Amino acid sequence: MRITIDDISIECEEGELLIDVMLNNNINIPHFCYHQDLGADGNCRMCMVEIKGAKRPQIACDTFVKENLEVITKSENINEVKRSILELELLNHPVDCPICDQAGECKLQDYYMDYGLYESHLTTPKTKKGKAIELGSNVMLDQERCVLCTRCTRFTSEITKTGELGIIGRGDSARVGVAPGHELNNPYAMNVVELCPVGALTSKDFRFKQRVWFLDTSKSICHGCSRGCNISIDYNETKYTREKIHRFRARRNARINQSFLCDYGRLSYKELNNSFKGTSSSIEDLKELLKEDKKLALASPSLSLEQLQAIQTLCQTHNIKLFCLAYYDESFGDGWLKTNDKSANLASVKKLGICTCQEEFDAALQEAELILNFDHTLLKHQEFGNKKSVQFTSTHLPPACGYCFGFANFAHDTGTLINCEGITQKFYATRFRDKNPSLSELLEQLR
Amino acid sequence: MGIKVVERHGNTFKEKIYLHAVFSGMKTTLKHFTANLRDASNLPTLCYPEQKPTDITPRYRGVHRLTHRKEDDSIACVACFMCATACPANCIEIVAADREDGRDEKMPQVFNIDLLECVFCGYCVEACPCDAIRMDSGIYSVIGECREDFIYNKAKLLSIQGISKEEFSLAK
Ligand code: SF4
Ligand code: SF4
Ligand code: SF4
Ligand code: SF4
Ligand code: FES
Repeated sequence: MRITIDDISIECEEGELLIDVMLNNNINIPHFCYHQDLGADGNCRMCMVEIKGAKRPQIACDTFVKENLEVITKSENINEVKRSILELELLNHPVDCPICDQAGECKLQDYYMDYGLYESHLTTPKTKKGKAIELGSNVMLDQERCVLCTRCTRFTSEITKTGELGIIGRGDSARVGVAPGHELNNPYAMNVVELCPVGALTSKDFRFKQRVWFLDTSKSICHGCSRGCNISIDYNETKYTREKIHRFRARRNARINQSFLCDYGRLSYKELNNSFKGTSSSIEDLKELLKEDKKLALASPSLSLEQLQAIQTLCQTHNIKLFCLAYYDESFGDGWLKTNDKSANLASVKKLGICTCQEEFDAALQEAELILNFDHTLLKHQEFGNKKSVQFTSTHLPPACGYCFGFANFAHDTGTLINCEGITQKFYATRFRDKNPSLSELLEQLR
Repeated sequence: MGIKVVERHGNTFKEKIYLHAVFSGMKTTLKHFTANLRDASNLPTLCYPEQKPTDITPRYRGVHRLTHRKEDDSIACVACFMCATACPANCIEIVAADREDGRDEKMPQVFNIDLLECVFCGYCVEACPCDAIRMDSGIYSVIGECREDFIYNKAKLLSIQGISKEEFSLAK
């Protein structure tokens, strides 16, 4: 089926929403309340379009496509409609962009520049509401900046079904809030920050840390559990600060995480700023060590497929027994995104045929004289008595008596993960190199 | 794109021997020389540093200062980073923090301007939405013994007085 949008012919399916067709084809359509993973609500009226044959403009988020539909998104008339809607939306808006963390990625700012550009007609003082309210779970609320799109309330009522957020009051005094004495408290709460199209909900964790236009983004995969949620890593290096990762944002993938992340995964970026800062041992010593008998290696199940392959090759050439133990946590999974298996890449481990048996590992550990640990948390801080040990680590470790090699963590490396549903996905490195080499480069030197 | 053909100069005999240009230049020099010899009171040059300039107006782009709010004398800057974004020399370092005095939500914890890197273009002043940074101090010379002396921090910038009528930030 074909429809025409602004004289461009577009292929689409029967029964699709017009706004979805536009968003999927990267056609600019202003909208506040519609969200591809929350559905339509039709309250903001920002998505107005003209349809040939229809008497008056219609909202694209409540129009289903029909054969030969002709849609106009830009015209004198429709721009005037949008300007009026925007003016109403912004009537009581505080316009405190200088102190608003959303500035730079704010839909109100974008649409004002695209369609607004009017002088305010307001002659009475603006309605005052609550500012900098801590809602709990790292979420800050500014009621004055809200455009009442109900994305956040729909998220808590329809997606998490916890229902903490609601709209209180009517007319000018309508505002988002939690019931008195309650707080926003669910393991997915921080998604509302990203869902909010304006700066009404912002993250306490990211608050005032950076201006968003200074940030660079790389495509990555969350390593928090085996779901493999798609993320964007926002990072930067300024003239006065070293490279730092500032936040994870959800990257839409309709098959896996839609547009959501759990708070645990979202905040796991902090670990990435804790890379290995010491000096690595000498590779010549390691070559010497590998001549020992009875060697054992334990690899983290969150390493990438490429890293695991490199380790496997090393172990085969030097006759090392290789194991990989899953990070299992019965209390973590919840039947939605979080899974009990907190290893990011156990499916790859199984694919490569690496032994994951705990008993065999325990027995081998007893016997082994040299232990190589590839970033597995089980052995990271362990003392091995008179056994020799080598740590390969992506996080910082206190200086220990054994041998230690730092390697670049997943933000600084490119690789492949297979998630719990068998979906293979790639993640990419940031623009800045870590001071430590990647694990594959490190192992290359042992050849 | 239209192309405009301009005539190339300097090809005539008169232009090639240069003498005409040299003497017409000398004529101007001599004119000023004799005029200044007759009346030295209107000399456009100064014996700086013994003589100081007297014509520095508030519009002169001197060393920056951070302004205060009229209501309570607190810092007007809200750490929005507009100045740092506009700065072509990338010489403004800001670290933002929560503001605790209840006047607002955000303020700079660190605000440094490296005057050795600054090109005194005034973009930061233009960019500021809060009239929090100005170059109306009238200070045209900065002296220091080491590089660090030229990095003016928040306290220093707040302490500099302006020479314009408006002492406080005019932002509403
Ligand atoms: S929500 Fe958008 S328009 Fe409103 S203050 Fe924040 S950045 Fe500015
Ligand atoms: S807080 Fe944000 S997401 Fe919630 S209704 Fe207001 S604008 Fe929409
Ligand atoms: S005057 Fe120009 S170079 Fe100097 S701090 Fe301001 S913007 Fe930067
Ligand atoms: S001086 Fe002005 S532009 Fe610079 S951070 Fe402060 S308020 Fe923003
Ligand atoms: S996006 Fe269509 S009405 Fe809000």
